[in-house]
Amino acid sequence: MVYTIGIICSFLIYVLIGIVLSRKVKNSEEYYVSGRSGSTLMITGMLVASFLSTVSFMGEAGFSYEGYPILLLILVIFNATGYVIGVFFFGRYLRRSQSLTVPEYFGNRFQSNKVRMAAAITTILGISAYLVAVTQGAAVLLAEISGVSYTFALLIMWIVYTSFTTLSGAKGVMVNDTIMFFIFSLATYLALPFIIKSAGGFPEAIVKAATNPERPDLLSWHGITGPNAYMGEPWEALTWAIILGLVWSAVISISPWQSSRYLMAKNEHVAIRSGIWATISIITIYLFLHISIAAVTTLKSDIAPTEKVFIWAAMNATPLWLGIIIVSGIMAAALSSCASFLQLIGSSITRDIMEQSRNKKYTDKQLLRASRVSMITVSIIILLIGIWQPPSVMWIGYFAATLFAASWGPVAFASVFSKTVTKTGALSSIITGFAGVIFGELLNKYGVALPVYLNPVIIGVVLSLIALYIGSKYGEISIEERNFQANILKRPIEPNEREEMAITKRYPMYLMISGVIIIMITFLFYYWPLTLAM
Amino acid sequence: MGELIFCFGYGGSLIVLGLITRVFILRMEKDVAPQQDQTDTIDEKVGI
Repeated sequence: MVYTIGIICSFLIYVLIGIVLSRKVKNSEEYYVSGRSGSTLMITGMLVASFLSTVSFMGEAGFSYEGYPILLLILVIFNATGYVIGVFFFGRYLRRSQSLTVPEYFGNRFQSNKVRMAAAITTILGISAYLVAVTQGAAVLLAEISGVSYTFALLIMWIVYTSFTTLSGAKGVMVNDTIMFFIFSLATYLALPFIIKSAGGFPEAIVKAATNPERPDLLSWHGITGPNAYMGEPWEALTWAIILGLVWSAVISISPWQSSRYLMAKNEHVAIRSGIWATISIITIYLFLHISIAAVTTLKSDIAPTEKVFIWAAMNATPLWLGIIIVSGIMAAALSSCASFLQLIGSSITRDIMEQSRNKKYTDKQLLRASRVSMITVSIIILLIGIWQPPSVMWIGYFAATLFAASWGPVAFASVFSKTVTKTGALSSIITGFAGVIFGELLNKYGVALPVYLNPVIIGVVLSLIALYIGSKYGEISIEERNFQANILKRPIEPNEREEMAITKRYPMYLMISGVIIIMITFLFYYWPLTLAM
Repeated sequence: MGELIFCFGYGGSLIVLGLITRVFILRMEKDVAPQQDQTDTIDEKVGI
């Protein structure tokens, strides 16, 4: 009961913030990109909060509990590079375009409504699938904790995220995401010492996890492998982690729910600094989370479904006050992603599809009203799908997110750096990449076992690249396209450029110092206990 | 062995990213420097 009260209180705060900030939304720029006023803290909060969701705290935690914590962390090594690659190779150029949505950027870059529409449709389809997965994960959690039915929990979730997102748009999402970022970060960091203490103290808890006969190889680099395991051979496990890690790196670099956060940054320095803090946060949060999950295996080895492992730990292996913070933190991670996704879908429907297809320009007031109506309509559809479709948190999330790596990846980077890509190439690449992933997934669904290196995303990326190359043989590049590209390649100079640059120049050092600290933590909490177990 | 490599690789990835980021930021700074120097020179001439 007390957990439910904690969650309800946090829900009320988010809705209240949405109501208060809705009064400050005066125009579409404030509603879509929060007036481009985001500070480093806020953009970092949004980047991390919209990335971490129930997929991380439930789906991936469950996968880790089943025997793959280190393998998942290997995936994160590659995955986290996406923030640095993303901000330097796409995000900052996207920000320079002063667009309100990412499809708008693609449309303006290639001077093509078709490209804009294709990007908008893939945004809506891909993010809607991801939104369903995240909402379902949160509803499973809420139902488990409060004892209400799954459908009722889904309804509560829907009311909360739809209300504050619809009312305040990006302004409310930005503030709430930052608060939520603090809550789930705090929850993850504090959980580790308490779970280890419950599991027998340090280093015994890790030694026990490493020698647990029910999960042999749990803490080996490849996790549990063999004929009856999810991963066949160690090399297959490693290949899977590297491929998925690189795919997620591309997702972080260019996906609409990550790259669009840079559109809200106050200036380019803020965008770069946020990308760096987000990298450090992701690496740290994942390390703490998955060492905790490894320790939980020694406390209870038959949690089912495994997606509930972190929730079980919160309610059984930590003090009550921390348990409340953890469950509220997981809910916060879910809500923040839902809010970002809904905001992006609503923006794309209104600005990139309705406005473009009707070939009319809405006034600010009409745009705000249309966006709110679109968001409510989409959220009702998501709610109905969530009720109808059985929950599968990790795999729907992975499928939906990785769609963007194939569909948008090649075009996004080419839009900045290539001087030969045409609108035909861009359009074919977006469509073919999207279709390639769906095709690969359908093969899997109908029993065609693809080798690990032929993951559906790889099929999609390869087809997308081929389509980009062949498609760019057709059509001509207009003067407007060349001018647009030339403009985004020019770096804007801030009025206080010297001061801003002096701050930004410290950030590589922050990354390196964090790296040394992380090596020390990994050595202390993982490798040293492992040597004791050998 | 794999575990030890992971131990150093996990945090080590941040060190590598730090080095890469350093290069990017120094290049960014160089992009600006000529423009600012030019402005400084013009100001000086006006002063003379």
